Amino acid sequence: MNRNTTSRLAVCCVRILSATTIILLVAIIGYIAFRGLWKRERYVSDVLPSFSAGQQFVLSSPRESGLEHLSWFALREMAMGKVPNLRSVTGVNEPFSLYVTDDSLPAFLAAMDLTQTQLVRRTTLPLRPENGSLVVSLEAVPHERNVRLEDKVLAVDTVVAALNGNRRISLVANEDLKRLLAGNLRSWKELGGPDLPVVEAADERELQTVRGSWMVMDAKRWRQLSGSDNAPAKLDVEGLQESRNLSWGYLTGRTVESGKYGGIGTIVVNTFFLVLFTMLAAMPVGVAAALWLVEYAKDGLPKRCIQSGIDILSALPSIIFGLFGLLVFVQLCHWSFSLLSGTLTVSLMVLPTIIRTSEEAMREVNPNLLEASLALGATKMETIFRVVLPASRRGIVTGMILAIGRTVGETAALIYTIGSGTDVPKSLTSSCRVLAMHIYLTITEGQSTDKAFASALVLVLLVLVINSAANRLIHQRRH
Amino acid sequence: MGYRSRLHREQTGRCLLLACSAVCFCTVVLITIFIFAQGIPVFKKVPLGAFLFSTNWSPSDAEPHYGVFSFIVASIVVTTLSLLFATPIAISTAIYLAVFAKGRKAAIIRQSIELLAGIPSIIFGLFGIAVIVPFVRTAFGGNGYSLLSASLVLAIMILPTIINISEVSLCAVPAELKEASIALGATDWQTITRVMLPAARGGITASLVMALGRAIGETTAVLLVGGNAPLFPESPLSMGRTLTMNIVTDMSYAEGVHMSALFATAMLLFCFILVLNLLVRRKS
Amino acid sequence: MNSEEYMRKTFTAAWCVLWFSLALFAQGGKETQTKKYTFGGSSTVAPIIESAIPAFMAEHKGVVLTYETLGSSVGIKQLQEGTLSLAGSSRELKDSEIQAGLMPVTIALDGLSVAVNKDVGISNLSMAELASIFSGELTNWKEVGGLDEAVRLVVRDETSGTYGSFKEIVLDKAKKSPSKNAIVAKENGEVATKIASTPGAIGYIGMAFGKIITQAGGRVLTIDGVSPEASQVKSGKYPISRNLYMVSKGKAEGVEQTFIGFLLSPKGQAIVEESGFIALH
Repeated sequence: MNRNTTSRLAVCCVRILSATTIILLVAIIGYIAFRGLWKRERYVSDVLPSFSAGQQFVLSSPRESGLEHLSWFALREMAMGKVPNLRSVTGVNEPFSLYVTDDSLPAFLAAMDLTQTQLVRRTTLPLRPENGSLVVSLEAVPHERNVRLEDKVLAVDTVVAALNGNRRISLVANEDLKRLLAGNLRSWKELGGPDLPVVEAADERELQTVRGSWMVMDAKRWRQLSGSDNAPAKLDVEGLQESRNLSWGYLTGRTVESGKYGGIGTIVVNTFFLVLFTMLAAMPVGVAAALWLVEYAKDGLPKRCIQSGIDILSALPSIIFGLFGLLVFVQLCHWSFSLLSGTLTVSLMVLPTIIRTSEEAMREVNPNLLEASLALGATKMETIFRVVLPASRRGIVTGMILAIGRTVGETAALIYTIGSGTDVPKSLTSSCRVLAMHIYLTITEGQSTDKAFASALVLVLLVLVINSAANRLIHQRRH
Repeated sequence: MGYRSRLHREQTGRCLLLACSAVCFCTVVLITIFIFAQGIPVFKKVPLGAFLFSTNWSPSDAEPHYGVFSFIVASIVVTTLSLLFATPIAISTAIYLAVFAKGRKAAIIRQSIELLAGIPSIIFGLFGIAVIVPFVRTAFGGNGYSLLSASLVLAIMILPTIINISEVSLCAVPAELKEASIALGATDWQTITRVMLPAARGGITASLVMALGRAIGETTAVLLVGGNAPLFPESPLSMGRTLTMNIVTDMSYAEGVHMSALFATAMLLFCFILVLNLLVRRKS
Repeated sequence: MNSEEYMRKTFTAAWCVLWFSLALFAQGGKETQTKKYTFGGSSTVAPIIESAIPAFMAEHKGVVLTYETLGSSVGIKQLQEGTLSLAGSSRELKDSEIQAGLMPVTIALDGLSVAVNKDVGISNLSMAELASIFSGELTNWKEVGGLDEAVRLVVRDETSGTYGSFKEIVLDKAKKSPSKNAIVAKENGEVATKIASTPGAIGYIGMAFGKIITQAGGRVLTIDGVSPEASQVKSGKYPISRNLYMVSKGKAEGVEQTFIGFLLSPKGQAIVEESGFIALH
């Protein structure tokens, strides 16, 4: 092949490969944004979703409680007082209270198959029902969300749900449910069950006698039959629900129970405190070190030692800083897992960054300025404070912003030093967690990948802001 | 203001500045002392050879064994693979930025590199779990959580390091060399491969070594995608545990000799990074 | 000069911020008049204690309780060393630990659910099959009636009480030893996510986390035909069940005793039930 063509081909490859960096960046940030903004949650419903018989009463609940639809079984448990807090139902951390108006009481008790003694309710309806309440009344309560009661189940012949070797159907996917209801399902084998034809039963008797039959039954009736012999079995439905993920409430809400409920508001505040104190600790030391290196150091052993120290420190992995922090700050100084230990550990990590950037900025200061100042009779120290520092302040601030970026993303060094408390720290010696650590803990504690992505999106946005600030400063300097 | 007090201020100021700059050096010394102090005791129980070359890591057995060879191998595999994946892309980008790109295109690529460098490692870990692990699973079979996934994630993370330093050294190649080559009739590609790359060889090697240092010290991202099984990795597709992963996994509950063994692992990492650093400084 | 004033102003501002925040934080120091108690231990017991602590602290002002999730074995060890005043354990105490003077109090019942990834195709296992799978003898799901998929084990680390209980109840009884070729997860939640995202995965987890499993996409199995529900565990029909304990060094006194009393009270037991475990009756 002609060497010109080789050259052009090779250059083409180079161009394509260079685009990879942008593609990767866009892919990563785009994916985090996508997962952070929308979540697809699996749900398992013990009743048929979207099926509700018309009831004589109406359920209403404030929007903040997160109730949109309720299964008959769940409502019955709540009516019997077995649910103290809404979070086991919707994930919203509010104490639960049930209000049933007197005029809707008979219809409610009949529909729920309860006696009045079993019911736990409050009777007087407040003007604005509190956040964790559910109101049962004859007419819809204004300004409240209407909650749909789902009270039909998919009842099947016992043989269909029986154990077959080690296999059994217990869950029907939503798509398969649609096929079943439309009559498109031929045999139960397609759902992992026995090889029986799928037959819709016309009434209860047929359900109990015809093998392989199914019918849509009232939940109340199914429960009444469930104690008896030959009671029909029930298949639960599973599906995917898409909803918005990151919300303002999550961003600002208080963290409850180490992240299981609530938001990340306190954690964002903790991150801010970590950054503040790390900068307070690291900036003076870093700038002072840079000053010494630029203004005072003479080539010799001290200078070389110090520069090697800085180089090595910047190359060390963060886990080593974490271990060092554990040994010295947590154990030796007896500060235990605290903001103080974490701050000092991270300051040591970002020190080289600050020193290097400040050094670069100070070397660029016009030497004429320095000579002029000295000629006017100022001491070296005065020159430094009144000439060098102001002149290099932009570079110093750039260094600070880079250091902030590094602090915010740090995990390994903080695992062993800052602890994992979720509240805003009351003093420097209390433990608190920061955003990157929270994401790590959410993933490893397996609470919810969606929450991890929401927090990750917040972290990425933070890093983007910090990065663009640094960029603008650098470019202003160059021009 | 009297002369003496100004002199005083001058001298105290100097001492203060010197003290601050000594902080880094003192920290390195202290880190060495503390980590070695915690790590050496394990060698009273376990001979150095057994520690480094045995694959049996079972600290909770009735007769505990502390062999980190599997972890050393896993670290080497992950680092080598990540360098393998990252180098072509990184060098190409460096070449593109140094030779071809002008103005806006260059600015966009540079900004994305800086952004990539600033993204915290936990985000890469999350991305790895959600995208790379399923990709490896569908493309190569097996578990998905493997050393291969870890090296893919690491490769993305070390790209900025290699690109930045390589670009600087490519730009530092004297213009006369480039022009002489073109004057002699060489194509662009020949100029790059036969003149510029060899001239920038030192800088490029330095960048690779720095990337190696970064890759071997990475903890959070590999912890989430590597599988964390303390077995000897038989292929890149098997689950493995690197040295850093071992420290993090066991540290929260280790005590006594076990903890000492973990600090010995940290010592190993520390020495390795020191050696790498000295190599780089010797070259420059 | 302009820049000198600028410098001075920046410095004064920075100093003010520094002292202000330090002052704020020094205030916090005074609040350590309240007594702090640290408990820790099992990650299975953690949800109960973490729900109980706010309720307890609301009733008893002036005490601050924290619970560190360290693993049952570590918690017991630290209890012996005095770093913790109460330890949560999800496994039985060893003889040596009882002889050292540790006293366990049962606060809840728990069953261990076994869960699989949904592509495995089975809904039930016998105890014998379970032991064979976790000892590494059975390596493909089709050997137990599932699909043709390799078995991947997800286990907890060795200091976990859940690991200990499972080994004791399932493997030791069948005289088999646990396989090392397994994904090691450090927390219950991690087990759930790994099971749900790894094809062919099987793992064990406290019953209370069953909801996380189904939400993540896994399936909880029935063992010998019995499902891990509260009624089945209470009646003893479900074969893998255990007690959850709070352990104290010697007889519990003071705040520790009050806390254990709170856990055993109806309010505490309601928290146990809400967390997904089984109350004692």
